Amino acid sequence: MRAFLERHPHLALLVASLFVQLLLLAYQIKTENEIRLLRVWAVTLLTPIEKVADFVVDGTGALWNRYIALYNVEQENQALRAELEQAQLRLHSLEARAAEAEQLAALLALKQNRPQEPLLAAEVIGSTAAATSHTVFINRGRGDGLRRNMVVLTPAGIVGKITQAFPGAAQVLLITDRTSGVGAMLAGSRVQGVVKGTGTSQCRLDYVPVEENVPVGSLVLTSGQDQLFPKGFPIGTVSSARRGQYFHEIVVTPTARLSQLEYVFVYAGAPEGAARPAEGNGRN
Amino acid sequence: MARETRTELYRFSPLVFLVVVFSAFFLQAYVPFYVPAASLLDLPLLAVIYFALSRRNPSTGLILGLVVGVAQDALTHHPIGQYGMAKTLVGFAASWVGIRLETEQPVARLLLVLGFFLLHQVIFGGVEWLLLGRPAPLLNLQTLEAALVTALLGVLAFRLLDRFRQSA
Repeated sequence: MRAFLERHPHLALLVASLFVQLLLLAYQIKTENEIRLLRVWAVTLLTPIEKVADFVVDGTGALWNRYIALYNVEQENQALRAELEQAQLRLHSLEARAAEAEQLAALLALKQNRPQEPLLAAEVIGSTAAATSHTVFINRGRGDGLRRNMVVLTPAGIVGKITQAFPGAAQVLLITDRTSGVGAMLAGSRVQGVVKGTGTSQCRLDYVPVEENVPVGSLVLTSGQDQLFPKGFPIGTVSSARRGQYFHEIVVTPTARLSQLEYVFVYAGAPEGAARPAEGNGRN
Repeated sequence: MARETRTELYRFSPLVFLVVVFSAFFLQAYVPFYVPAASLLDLPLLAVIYFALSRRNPSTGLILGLVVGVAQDALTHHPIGQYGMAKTLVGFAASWVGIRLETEQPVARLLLVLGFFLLHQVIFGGVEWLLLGRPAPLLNLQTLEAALVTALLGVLAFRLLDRFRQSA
């Protein structure tokens, strides 16, 4: 630069004088938006530089933060993982409590809707150890007034009946057990039959004549004909129906979630002496 | 025409310089009142060209053009610097040419003034176009006529001014 000035002083002076006048012109001239041309030039000149500088600074910062300055990330990651696990545990606990509260609320509603019927709440404390036996144990027993053949149900539907009453617990035979039978009727047509357990998660409805129309999805209720289960409680819904020689072959899915029982009601209105086994006519 | 080694440098009394420049501005301002066509002339430009050619120093020439041009801007409605840039470049160019060419002959002076006048118009119009956003024809017949008249007037005026110069 200095060498150029010494070698071409006239040219340098020319450039300087033109430059000064150019700035002077730019200061005086305004654009259509009343912005001085000098300001427009300055902004136009500086904006790309600022953008580049901003890009470099941001890029450097991002490079530093994301790839270099990671010495605390491992510890932070571990702490966050631990915190996440605790939160998940807390969430599961809350979900379980919420489900429990929901069930209790449903049971309370059932009891309030049938104030004249003797319902005793019980908690399911265990299930059978054998796959072929669909039974559960509840925390109420003979000491609470429970007797054999008392009906066990939930707000969604019936569960089964008590087969053994111990001093502090009772064994409940689920309606899905092979030996179970419940007097039933189709909610729409009032056609009666017997719901029998199949040893699976589903039941079957027997003795429905082929002349009757059995829509899939129909609700199956207790008929009370077995003089054990009170009339009008839901048992399940028709999953499939196929015509047989004389009767329909109907598969029923229980409305009570028998595999996830936690709280149930015992219908204490059927004393042991009054109950009758449902043998013969499909009754257990 | 000859190379720089064969040209002669001239000096002027500051008084001559001031009188000539002020006279150029005065005449440029008042003659068109009586002769409207005279507005096409550029007498301050003639002064710049003459002194730059005679002094044969680019720095002196461009400063002379700068001062005269800015003064002309100040006396007009143009933004300061528009005439200034044009006359700065013309002053520099005239000095540069004066170093390298023999400029004493009337024909040479005629052609030089003609050329510098057109150069001045191109620069002035270019600045107006690029900076002010007012596109205008840089050269047209009227400009050529004005250039020719200014050149003829310049030959006469230069002959008159030669009487006041001194060899350096």
